Amino acid sequence: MAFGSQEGWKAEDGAADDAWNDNTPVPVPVSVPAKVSSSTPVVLNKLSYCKVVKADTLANKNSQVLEADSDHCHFLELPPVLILEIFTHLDARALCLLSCTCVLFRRLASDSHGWKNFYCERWGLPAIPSTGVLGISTPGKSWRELYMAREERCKVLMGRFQTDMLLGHTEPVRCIRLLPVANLIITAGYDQVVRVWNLEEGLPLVCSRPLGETLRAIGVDMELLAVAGSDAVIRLWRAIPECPQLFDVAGIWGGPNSKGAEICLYGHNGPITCLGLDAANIYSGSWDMSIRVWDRVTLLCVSQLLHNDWVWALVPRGRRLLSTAGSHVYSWDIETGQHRMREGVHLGQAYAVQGSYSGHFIFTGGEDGAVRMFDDRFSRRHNNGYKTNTLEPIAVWMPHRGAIHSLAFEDPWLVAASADGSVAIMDVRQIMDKASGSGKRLPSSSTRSRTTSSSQIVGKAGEEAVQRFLPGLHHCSFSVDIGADRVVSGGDEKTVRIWDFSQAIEIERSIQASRRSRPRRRSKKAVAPVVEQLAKLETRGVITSRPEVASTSTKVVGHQAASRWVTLGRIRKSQTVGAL
Amino acid sequence: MHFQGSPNMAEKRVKLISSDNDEFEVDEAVAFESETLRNMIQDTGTNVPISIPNVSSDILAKVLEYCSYHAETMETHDDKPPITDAQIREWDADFVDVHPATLYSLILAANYLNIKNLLDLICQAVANNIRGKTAVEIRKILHIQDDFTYEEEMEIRRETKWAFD
Repeated sequence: MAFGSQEGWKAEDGAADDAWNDNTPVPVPVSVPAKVSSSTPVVLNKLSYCKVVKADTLANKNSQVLEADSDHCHFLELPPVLILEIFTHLDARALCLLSCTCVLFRRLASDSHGWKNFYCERWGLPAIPSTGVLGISTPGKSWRELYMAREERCKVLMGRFQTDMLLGHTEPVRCIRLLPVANLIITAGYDQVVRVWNLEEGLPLVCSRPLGETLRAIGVDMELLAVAGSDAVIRLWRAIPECPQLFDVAGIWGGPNSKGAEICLYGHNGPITCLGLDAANIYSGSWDMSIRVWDRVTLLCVSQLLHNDWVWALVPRGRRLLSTAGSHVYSWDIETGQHRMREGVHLGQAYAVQGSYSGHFIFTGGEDGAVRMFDDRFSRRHNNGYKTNTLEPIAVWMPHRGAIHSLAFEDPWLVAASADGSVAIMDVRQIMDKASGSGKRLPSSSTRSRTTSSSQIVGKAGEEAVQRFLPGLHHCSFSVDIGADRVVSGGDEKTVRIWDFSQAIEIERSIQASRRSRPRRRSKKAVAPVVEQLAKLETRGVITSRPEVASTSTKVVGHQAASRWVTLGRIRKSQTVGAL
Repeated sequence: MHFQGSPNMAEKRVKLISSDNDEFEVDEAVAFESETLRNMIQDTGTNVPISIPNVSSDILAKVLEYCSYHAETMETHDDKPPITDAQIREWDADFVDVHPATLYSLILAANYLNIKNLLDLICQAVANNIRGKTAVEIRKILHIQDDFTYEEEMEIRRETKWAFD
C-alpha cells in the first residue's frame, strides 16, 4: 500500500522530520492483499478504462481492503512537505485556526512563505519605511507576525480620528498621492503648482514653480515623481536620496543637469488625466483616448493602448493594467497588450478605477454616484473566456449623492471621494472572500462592526453597506488617497483634509481605561449593606492586583483595544461583571 | 493478452507494476501526465515494465483513471465536441469525492509520480474539507490530539484573535 513506503519519503524531509516523529502514530503494518493472479496483467484501455477496472475482481477486492484499513490512514501520516502543500490551499484565517489545533500544525502553519504570499497578495511587498518599524530586515519579525500586525491595524479606520487641514493651494486641489514610506504627501491642482508636504506633521516642505498648466495626475514611488495635466506633458523628477523631501520639484537642489532635475515626456495629443507607476513602466492616460506606456529607464514610449473614449483613470496591478474610458472599464495584459472590456459599467463617465493588489478585483466609480466591484479572475484551466458571472458586478455601493471622482484602496478598505464632499469607507474583504469561495461562513468582524457602528448606513436592496462616512464641507472633492492609517482628500475647497487614525488604538485604550474605573464605583453603590463588606474586599483585591496587570500586560490590553473598540458596550458590561 | 481497443494503434503502450505486483498497461500519453514516469520512460524506453514500488494497485488505478481522463481532454476529436471546463470540473469533483484515507494515499502517489494537477486537485479537496471548520471540528476530522498546554493555547488564541471573531 502507499503508506507502507513512508519511511523512504520521510527521509527526504530532513529538518522537518523532528516535528513529524513527535506526533506520528506508529505506521500500521499493512497486509499485502492476496493476489488473484499476478501473472494476468490488468490491461487498461484508454476508452473502456472504467469498465475494465470495475470488471476486474482484483480492483474490487483492493478497494474493500482499503475501506477496512482506512481507519489507519490518517492525515498525520502525510509527510510535512505534503501537509504544507495542502496548507498552501488555505487562506490566512483557516491557517490560523489550524495552528490552534496542535503543536505540529502550529509549527508548520508558521512557515513564512505562505504568510509572505498572503501579505503580498493583499498589500504588496512592504516597503522599508524610514522609521524602520515594519522593515523586512527587522529581526524577529516573521511574515506571519507582519501579517497579523497588519490585519490588526486594519481596524484602525473604524476608530476615532483627528482631522488636519493643509492650507497652501490657491485653486482647487485636483490630485493627491501619499508616499507613506517617505512620509510625504504630494498634491497638485488648478493652481499649476506641485506641493510636497510632511505626512505626519502636516507641514509644507517644498513647492514647484507654476508649471503653466492645470495639473490633474500624480504618480509617485520611492524613485520617481510624475505629474501631468492639461498640456499633455509628463514632468518627471527622479528621487535624490539625500534630499529631505526626496524630489527636487523646486529645482533648488543641484543644477538643471543634476540627477533629480525636471524631465519632460512628450507624446500625448490631449490633456493627461491619470498616471501610474510600476517597477518597469510609467503609464499615462489621456483624453486623446490612449494610454502610453513609457519605459522607466530609457523614458521612451514602448507601447500605446488604444481606447474608444476619453481615458479617465488607470491603475497598474501586478501584470495587469486597469483603466476606465468613457463609461467602460478595461483590463489590459501589460505584456501582450490584449484587453478585456466591460461596456457601460456606469451611467455617464466612469471617473475612477482601483484594483486589489493581486489584480483579481476591480472597483470603479462614476458619474452616477455608484461604486461597483468586479471579479476579474480567469478560469485557471483554459484562458479563453470569462467565467460566466464575471461581467456583472459582484457588489454595488451607492454611497454618495454626487459623482464619484476618486477611489483609493488599501486592503480591506475602499475609499471613495465624491462631488458632495464626503468620503465613504467600505469594507470589501467579505465580498472578496465570498467571491473566492474561501470565506468563513460565520459572520466576521466586519459584519459585527457594521451592526454596532453608529455611522453605519444600510443601503437599499442589492446594495452593500457603507461602513463609515467622513463628512466634508459640501465642496466637491476630487481626489482621495489612503495610507499610513490616514485618509487624505482634496477638492474645490482648496485645502487638503487629513483624517488621521494613527492614534485610534491609543485613544481607545485610554477610553477603556476610564470606563473600567467608572462601573466599579457604580457597582459599589448598588450593592446591599450586607454584601458591601464583601464587595469592599473584592474591590480592594482588584485594586491591589491592578498595577500588576497594567505593568505586565499592557500589550494584551492594547490588543483587546485594537480589536474591540466598536463593541464598547459589551466590554463595559463584562468589566462590570468582573468588578463585582 | 494485449487488449488494443484504441483506434490509435501507432501509440506506444507502457507497462506499470504496482507495489503489489499488478501490471497495468496504458498509453504513453497517459503515463506522460506524470513527470516521474516521463523521465523514467525517456531513460529506459517503453519496452521495460516500470515498477512503482510506492503505490498500491487500487491507488494506481485511481491515478491512471485521472491521467487517462485528463490526457483525453487534451486531445481534439473531430467527431466529438471538446470537453468543456465545467465538465472537467464536475469530473474532478466526482473524482475527489472519496474516503479521506484514499485522498491521503492519492496525495502520496501524486507526489511520488509528480503529477502537479492531481496533487493540486487533491490538496484543494482536503483544504476545502478543513475550511470553515472550528479548531475542535478540525481535530476531529483529521484525528489530531490537542497537545497544547493551557498557557500555550491561551497565547495562541490571543495571537490569532482576529481569526476567531
